[in-house]
Amino acid sequence: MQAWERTRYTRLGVRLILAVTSAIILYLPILLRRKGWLLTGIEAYYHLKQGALSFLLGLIPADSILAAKMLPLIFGIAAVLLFYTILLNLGIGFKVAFGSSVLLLMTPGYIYLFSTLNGYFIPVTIALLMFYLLLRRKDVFLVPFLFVMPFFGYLHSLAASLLLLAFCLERKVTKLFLLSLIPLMISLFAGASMMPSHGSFISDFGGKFGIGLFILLLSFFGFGSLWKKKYRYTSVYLALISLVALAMLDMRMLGYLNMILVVLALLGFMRIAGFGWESAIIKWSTVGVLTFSIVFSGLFYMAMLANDLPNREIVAALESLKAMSKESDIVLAHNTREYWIGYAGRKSISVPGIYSSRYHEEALQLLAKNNIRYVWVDEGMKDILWQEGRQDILFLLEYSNLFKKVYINDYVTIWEVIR
Amino acid sequence: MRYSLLFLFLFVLGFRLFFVFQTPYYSGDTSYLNLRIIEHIKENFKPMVNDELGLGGRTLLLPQFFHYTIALLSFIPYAYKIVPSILMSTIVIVVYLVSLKISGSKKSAMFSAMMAGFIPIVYSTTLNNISVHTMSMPMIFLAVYSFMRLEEKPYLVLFTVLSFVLPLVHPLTFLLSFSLLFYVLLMASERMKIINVRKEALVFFIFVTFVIEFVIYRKALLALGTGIIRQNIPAGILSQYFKNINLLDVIYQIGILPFILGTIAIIIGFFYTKKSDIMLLIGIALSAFLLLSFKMVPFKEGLMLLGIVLAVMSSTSLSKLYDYIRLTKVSGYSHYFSYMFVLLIALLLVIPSFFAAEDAIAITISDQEFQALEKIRTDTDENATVLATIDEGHYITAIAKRKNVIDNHFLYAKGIDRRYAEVNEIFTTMSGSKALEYMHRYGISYIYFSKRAKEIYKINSLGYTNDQNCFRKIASVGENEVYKIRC
Repeated sequence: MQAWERTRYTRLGVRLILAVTSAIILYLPILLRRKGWLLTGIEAYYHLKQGALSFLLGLIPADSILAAKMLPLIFGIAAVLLFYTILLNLGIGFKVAFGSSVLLLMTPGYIYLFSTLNGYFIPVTIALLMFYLLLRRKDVFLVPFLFVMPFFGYLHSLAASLLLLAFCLERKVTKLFLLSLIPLMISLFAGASMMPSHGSFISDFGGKFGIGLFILLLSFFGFGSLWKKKYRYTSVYLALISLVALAMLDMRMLGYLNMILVVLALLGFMRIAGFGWESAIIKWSTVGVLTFSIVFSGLFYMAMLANDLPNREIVAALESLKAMSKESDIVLAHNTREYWIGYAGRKSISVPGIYSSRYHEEALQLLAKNNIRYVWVDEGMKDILWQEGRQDILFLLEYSNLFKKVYINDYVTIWEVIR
Repeated sequence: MRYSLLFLFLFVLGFRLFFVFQTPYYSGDTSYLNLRIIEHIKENFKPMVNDELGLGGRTLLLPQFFHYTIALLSFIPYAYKIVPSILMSTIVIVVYLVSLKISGSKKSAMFSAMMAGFIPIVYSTTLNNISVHTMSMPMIFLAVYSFMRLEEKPYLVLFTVLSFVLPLVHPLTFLLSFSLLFYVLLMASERMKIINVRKEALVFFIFVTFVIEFVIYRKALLALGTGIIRQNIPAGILSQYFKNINLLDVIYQIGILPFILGTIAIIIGFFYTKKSDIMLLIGIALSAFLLLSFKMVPFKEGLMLLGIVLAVMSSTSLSKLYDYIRLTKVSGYSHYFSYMFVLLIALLLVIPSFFAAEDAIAITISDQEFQALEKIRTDTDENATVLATIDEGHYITAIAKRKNVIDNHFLYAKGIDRRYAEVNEIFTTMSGSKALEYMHRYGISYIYFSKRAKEIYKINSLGYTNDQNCFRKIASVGENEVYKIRC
């Protein structure tokens, strides 16, 4: 076998390893999720019923739930392969490209993005594809994607424009950047709407889209090694600053930042491992601890995603609600439950002030005014109301004859309003 | 000097045991939480993660290396009293070693050890207490000592082992990590070089601490985020845990002698001596002070660490003082200075520690309280939930063996502020219907209304217990009463 053939097969082998590993990692939260638990999170149910994704899912000739589980996974495999290829094309070297790709697979940001149905996995993959085309100078193919990006929200266009700017500064080509500004303008004028996002920048502090704590720590070390050649990496600094700013506007933009940080984290890891260690005990202990921390962080996140709501009890309660109520009935529930109940084909509302109401008359007035027929309360919702200090309605529901308990399981209770 | 050190260790141990055996019970209700964990480990060989009684059932997030150690040594008679006392008394040996390393003077190191053995706050916090700090404090300073001698292989191994063990004992290890960073800053500011092996150990220690604490506290981190620093303590009592730092309070709690000598040592060490080991200790002292000032470390824990580190630092001041005396005409009388110093330690540290120890014993649960709690255990339903004050929550779970409504382990407790406010309301309200509303919310079926509760809320009776139909007194031992909720 010729040397060039061997190299080609090795490259193919590496890509195959990455594809298979990413498929396993992304499928694990789905696999670990118990039977009957459907999709993870709240956002998934929004995309199942409305928006561009539901249209896309409708085109797939398969069960919509199965399609909703598989679509992000396929994009996830494509994203990691693109990521690896981009790093190789940037001339960063095989070791860093492969290591960063493996590290990326273990990050909470990547796992969330490509194992749940959300509005971000497609634009992130497109952005990677655009970057790849840019590197290969396939400008003609790039242009259509520039015009597709605004459909996913102006922040994605902005992210793509800023990444292009960083690249153009590096390669000194301004024409493309100017072109990228056009779709950005379109999306800004169109006022593309986005789901509200909240949480922490760090996934280990409760941020679903956040950066892993240890990736962040390692990336500081990686950044330190870049900083030695200060002005050589201006484009990287620019990209970093822009993406941090974007993440402040919308936490889910951390999906982009995550990709740069994993490269820095790997550089940091290599820097630490490559110190002129005097003590072999400490060296190997440190490397072991760091590896454990990254793997543990990823595994813990997978388990967390697998156990995320809605659980089996919620799904059963939704089915019962659907069976016992009419389509026109309105359900009172916390606004975080809106999409689940909507998926069951019922309308839900969250009435301000009702949760802190403890008087019959006041509660009746609010219920009648909003034409509420059912009240949905689950354990997770109790936690939210508890945190907000507004759970007086629970007392009323339990002890008042205004309400009749029509459904109960270990997690959910549904009351019917007696008129 | 070896025998003197042994004598000092035995003296400190004897001093502690003298107080410890004045009562069959333990001071501070946290002892009873630790007792339950130890008993659980002895029965199941597993850490206690699900606490079925605390707050009516919760996940217990706590490193449990200390509990395993005590469980392992529980074959010793009175182990729960003796082992923590021995562990805390070893601080004099560790302090002696560190002090000797930095001052090079055996006499000064011995005085430092003496001071460390009699720091009042250590007595008020750990005496007659199954306290994790009886292990964490000596271990922290042992880690510091091994860090100072990293060039020698046995100490390198010891430091590596301690780096793994310390985070499993107490999260105070974070303070040590922070101190190490502070040490790097101090060294950099003075353009002093840190030897490679120390740099490596430092990076390693910080990473290990982060990883282990992350594994233990991951659930709380997810729920509380950076708020975990405040340990989810209810806002109403946050000031008891994270106090404003007050100089007089600091001097009173750690003793005037280590405070003055330690402060002088910091000044001399930072501006004149500039030795790496001393910089390390200055790093610990300053970071403890800084974290206390910013209320990022619980007051008592931060102060204990500060007190011990100042006692260690004092050895350099004393060694300088002895060097100076040697140059003067009174050099022949230097032993008189030693006698005078022993006297000063007795007056300014041993006596305040004696009073602190007496206070610690005084707040121990009384026979009558214990009997009332025993009555709850024997006369109530096994699944009953018993209301008690926040400081008695662990008594309910450990002695009465019933579910409590609140106790002082707040981490990962949901809606703790509201729970705390409503528990207070039940004790102080005059409205029976309001009290019942809250009682139903928490499923309370008994109220333990103790002498302690009466003192805390400054009341003699609950405002609504006249209603015999709803609230019936089922037990009364001295001033401690137990009510059954019947509505």
